[in-house]
Amino acid sequence: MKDFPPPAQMPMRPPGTVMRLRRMGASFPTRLSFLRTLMRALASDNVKVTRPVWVMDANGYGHATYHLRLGGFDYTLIAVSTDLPPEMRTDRVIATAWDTTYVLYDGIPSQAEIDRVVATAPQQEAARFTARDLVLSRANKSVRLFNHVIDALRAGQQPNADKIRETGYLMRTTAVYGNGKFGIADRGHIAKRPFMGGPFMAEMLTVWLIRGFTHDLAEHVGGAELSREAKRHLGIGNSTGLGMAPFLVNHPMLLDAWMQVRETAVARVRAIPSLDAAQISRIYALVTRAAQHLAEWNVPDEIAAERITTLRREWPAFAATLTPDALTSQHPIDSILTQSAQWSVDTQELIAALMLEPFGELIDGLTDCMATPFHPTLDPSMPYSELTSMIDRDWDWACAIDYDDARECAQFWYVSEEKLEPRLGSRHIEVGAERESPLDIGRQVKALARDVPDSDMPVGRFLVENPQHRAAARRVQTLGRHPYAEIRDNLIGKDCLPIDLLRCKLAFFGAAKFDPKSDRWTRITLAQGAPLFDELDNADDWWLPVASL
Amino acid sequence: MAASCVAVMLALNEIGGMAQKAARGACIPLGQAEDLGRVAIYLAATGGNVSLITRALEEPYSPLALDWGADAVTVQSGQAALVAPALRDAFAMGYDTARLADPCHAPMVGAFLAEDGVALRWEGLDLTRSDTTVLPGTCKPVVIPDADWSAWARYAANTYVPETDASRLAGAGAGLTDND
Repeated sequence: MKDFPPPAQMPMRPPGTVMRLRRMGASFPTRLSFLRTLMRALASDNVKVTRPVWVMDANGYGHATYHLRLGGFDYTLIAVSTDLPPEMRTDRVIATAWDTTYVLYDGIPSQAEIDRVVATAPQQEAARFTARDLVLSRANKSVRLFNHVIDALRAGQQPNADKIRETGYLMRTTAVYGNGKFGIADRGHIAKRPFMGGPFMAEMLTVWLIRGFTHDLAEHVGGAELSREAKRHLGIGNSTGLGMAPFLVNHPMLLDAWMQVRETAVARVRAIPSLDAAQISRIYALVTRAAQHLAEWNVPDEIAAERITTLRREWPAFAATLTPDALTSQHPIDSILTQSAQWSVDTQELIAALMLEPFGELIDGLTDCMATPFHPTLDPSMPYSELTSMIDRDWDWACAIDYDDARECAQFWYVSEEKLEPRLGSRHIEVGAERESPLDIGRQVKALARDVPDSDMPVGRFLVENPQHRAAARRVQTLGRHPYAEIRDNLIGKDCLPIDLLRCKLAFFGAAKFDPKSDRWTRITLAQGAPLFDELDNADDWWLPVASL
Repeated sequence: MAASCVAVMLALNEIGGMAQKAARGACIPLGQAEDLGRVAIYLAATGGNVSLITRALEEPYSPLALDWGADAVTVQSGQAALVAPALRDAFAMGYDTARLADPCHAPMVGAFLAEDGVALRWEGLDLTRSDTTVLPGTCKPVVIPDADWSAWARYAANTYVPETDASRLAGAGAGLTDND
């Protein structure tokens, strides 16, 4: 067996830089994002999507199924479309009815199974599902655009291009549940299947299939076909709130895996000694595309709009630095990324994402490392002095904070009783902090750091005398081995913006066009520009898509 | 005590999540609650007795105290949820023998060590490392008695915050209707 040396790489960007909320909140999708990985998988396996069932009335209410075979396994999206009164339409988790509901089914469903899902999917969390149900989801119409599209098609016209560009989707998912929620299959059930081992593959497959369904539904109700260009630019919206925020904190090893892959990719492209003409041309094309994407990205939120304005201002100046001399020099990408420090955090992260795009052969294989079967474990044999050294090395950001200061403990995470929904409360105004969810990782570690034993002893013995520090000790040890596992900011401080957590995770999903509605929920677009069902032979060139309408 | 004849079919992830929340709701420290969640999954996935979790939740608080002998570690006091992870640590630190204060804790300690891949033999209060093979879990839905699931849900509810209109609006941040 031959041993191939790993590709050369420069030093990775340090966790102290990368794992800060503000930078995480400036994340852009990359070719390593989960939806991109899925598209490449579908293309490589020559997947064909069919629609065996279409039972819809003239108004688009009924159900449909979409089938594909991937890696030797059958998967079927069962889609249910229901007449929803407008006053019941909400993106909140507390909603009880939706325009459309979905199950990604494991296999080819019998009629009895289709009937079961048609009856239960509209109930969502109020129903129980089975291990044949892999993903549970729901989506609401973007009412203005959906109605406009229908009206245009009925009038024999294509919808207005500006309206499509402005919204970018016909429907928004408001939850995409996987991994055992409400009785659906555990992730372990499919994790070893070809192409399904990566993070959220089943969920991404569901979203992509839902997107195709929304096109079909609009065409059905409108009575005519949408142009291919319109359909390509119509992705799937998503409303993401705090439900997603604790995930990154509660899965430190997964977060480390994602970040290590991305940062390794950045380090590899930095080590590229020189670029050929095709690669240079590609970079120029992507810079132009990014500029157009920024021009099409308009949001009402003031903070987000200001960041986009900065991006739009800096981007031409950045583009001007990409002279032929610069791109034909030695280690040009390393120079570009080093010099990017002069720009805003948002521009820096856009540049980093762009520079990964032309080098799939060099970095796409890294995505195999984005899933991890491991969970944090405690090494009780470690001497406490070594734990102290780790705290001193890795947790200065946490230990420097005075958590008794009202600003530094201004917020508390909790789970609402009514809908079991994660929320963020104001500690000094609202009740409930005594039932706080333990996302105050920095504060926990500082408390651990304060309880130093009289003599050095194994951590296992220390924890017998101080059992309350078990979780914090395990997190310290985990970070020592997995340096990107922790968000290095105070998650209960006044300045914590949950939207930064959401954006980081959503960027890894492959989302773009972040449209924050507050500091704790955002709309995004997934699969915009992605191949349609019959376009998988050209499945990979849709980073930061722009409308070709 | 008669076993409940009503059962609930659950995914393993649901079991682990609920057990961990229940442990926190029973005032078990976070780290031990995390461990209990993982052991609940292990018990469910191996057809083990998940009622061990319920008993651990219901056990009154007892501070943990161990005596670290040269060859064996002896439990002086402590509830199962604290003793079991501590003894797992002790075996990971090289101990092969432990002596319990309460023989009822043996199955829970055994489950903790099995989840770590360590088999135990126990007689009365004494636990010894064994060289038998630990049963691996199977990823599939599991039926657990409703009495246990209901008990876990009751404890987990201690971690939820009742809401007000203000918290519903402010806490998650979105408006109540979405018709754009």
